[in-house]
Amino acid sequence: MVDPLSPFLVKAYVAILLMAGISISGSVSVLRGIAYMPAEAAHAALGGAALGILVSHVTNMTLDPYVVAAMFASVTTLFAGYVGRRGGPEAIAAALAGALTLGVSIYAFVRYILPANLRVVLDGYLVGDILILKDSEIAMLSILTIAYMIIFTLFYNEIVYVCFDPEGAEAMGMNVSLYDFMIFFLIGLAGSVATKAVGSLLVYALVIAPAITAKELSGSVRGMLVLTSAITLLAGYGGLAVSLLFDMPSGGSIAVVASLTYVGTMLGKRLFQKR
Amino acid sequence: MNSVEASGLTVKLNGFEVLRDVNLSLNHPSFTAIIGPNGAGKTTLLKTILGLLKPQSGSIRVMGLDPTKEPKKVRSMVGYVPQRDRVSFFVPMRAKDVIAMSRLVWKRPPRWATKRDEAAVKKVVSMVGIEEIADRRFDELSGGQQQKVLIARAIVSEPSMLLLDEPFNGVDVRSQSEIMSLLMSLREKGVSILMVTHDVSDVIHIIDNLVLLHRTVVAAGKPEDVLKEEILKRVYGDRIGVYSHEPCIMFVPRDSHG
Ligand SMILES: Nc1ncnc2c1ncn2[C@@H]1O[C@H](COP(=O)(O)OP(=O)(O)OP(=O)(O)O)[C@@H](O)[C@H]1O
Ligand SMILES: [Mg+2]
Repeated sequence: MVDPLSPFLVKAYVAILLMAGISISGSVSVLRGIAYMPAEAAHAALGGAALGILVSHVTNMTLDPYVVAAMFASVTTLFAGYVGRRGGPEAIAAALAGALTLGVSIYAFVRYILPANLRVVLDGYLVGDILILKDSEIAMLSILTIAYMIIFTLFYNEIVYVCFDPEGAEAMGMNVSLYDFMIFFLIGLAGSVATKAVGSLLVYALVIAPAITAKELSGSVRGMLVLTSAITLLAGYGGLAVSLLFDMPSGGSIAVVASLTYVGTMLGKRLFQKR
Repeated sequence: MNSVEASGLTVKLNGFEVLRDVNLSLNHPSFTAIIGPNGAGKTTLLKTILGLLKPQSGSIRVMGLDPTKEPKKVRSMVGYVPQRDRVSFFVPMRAKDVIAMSRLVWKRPPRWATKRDEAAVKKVVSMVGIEEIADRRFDELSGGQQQKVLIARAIVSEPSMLLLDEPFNGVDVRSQSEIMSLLMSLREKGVSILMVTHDVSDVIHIIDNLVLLHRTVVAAGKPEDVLKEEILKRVYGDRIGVYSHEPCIMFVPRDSHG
């Protein structure tokens, strides 16, 4: 039996806690009408990380791949936001799909030419292992998550208003384009944090699925945000427990628990409403 | 003072001249309806009044202010009820949070609601008669209920003028007459009302002015002066006739007393 307080498990607890904060970006994406945005940002981050690793390998620079990943993700989402101002939701979807393809292609290409020891580092951004994060990485991700939550709390109303009724908000004197860009930037930042903490694949399970589930169950925006974080915590800790009990990979277990939560919610809602 | 004063107003959207040489003068307070075919530029005119669109040429004054120079001041005096289909249904906002919006936008972030804001929202909720739905999700309300919530949002900041873009779209006769009497009571309190509508027969008895818009002002004035067959033909073509019956048929909502 594993000691539940062993250092690597404690780090995993912290990483899941961070994801509970980051999962708010999933809610915001649902509100903005582009539910998959965090995942697309995360895959752009994956491409950025690949480039970062490649450049520091080839040039012997000490370049933190995460910095490149974060830049890639936020530039991608900001670009999507810019495109959306002219072309609407379809243009945003197209831009994000393009970014996802580009990110994954860069990842595949770089992975092919990297030596084996660096491939492992790179793959950590695809299927992250929350059990092997370094202390310094946990610290950096914590600071980013806290900054993200502070900005979000300060501008909560703006974010909700811009998603709800941009025209009306502008007619009430709000600077809608500014706040819309802020939404896109925050989602890019969140996507990069999630990629580093749990890997880009798990973003679906820990950010997007909880947000979609929460929207079905909530009576208000605030309720939806709280519930999203709660479901992320549940899926994260539940998945971790499953992985330890049955000796399965943590990422896969978390994804399974998150998906089951969604399916269970939908079934439960149906049954409950029929009565 | 006039609520709206436009002269030689021309507005282009992506190089396309949507409004051309619009001349309009509406006194304050007054109740005005704008009619015109789809694509006539009605919504464009409302947005120009709010300073959301900049005119290419000509001048516009709203409550004596120039919306291109002082958009914030104009927007703080003018309540806007957008076309209902412009609002997102991805956002599970409660009706009362939607209403509070137009008070909170004038504060600094994080724009938290004070007791006074809550009291103001409560007052408007009972004025509009939507107590039962104030705590429900906006996206789960009926069309007429949503329209009332959007009107409540526009009037909770106590504007001197109210712009409404097709407020009766998808609204049944009962809600429509409730909204109408609400607008009339606002008009009596000194609020100017400017409403875009496709169905003028319902408002003809209560409006002060009627504007027929088709890229430019085709006719404006008392409703009976605008609703003439030879004028309407110019805009809507031959397939329109003006029929007036006295006494006319009206839908009167009946209160259910059991
Ligand atoms: N962003 C835009 N770019 C180019 N043309 C536009 C744009 N928005 C509107 N238009 C055009 O301007 C014209 C007037 O549009 P507007 O929305 O003001 O009409 P409307 O009178 O409100 O119509 P409706 O009754 O359908 O609401 C239309 O021909 C429309 O195609
Ligand atoms: Mg219109």
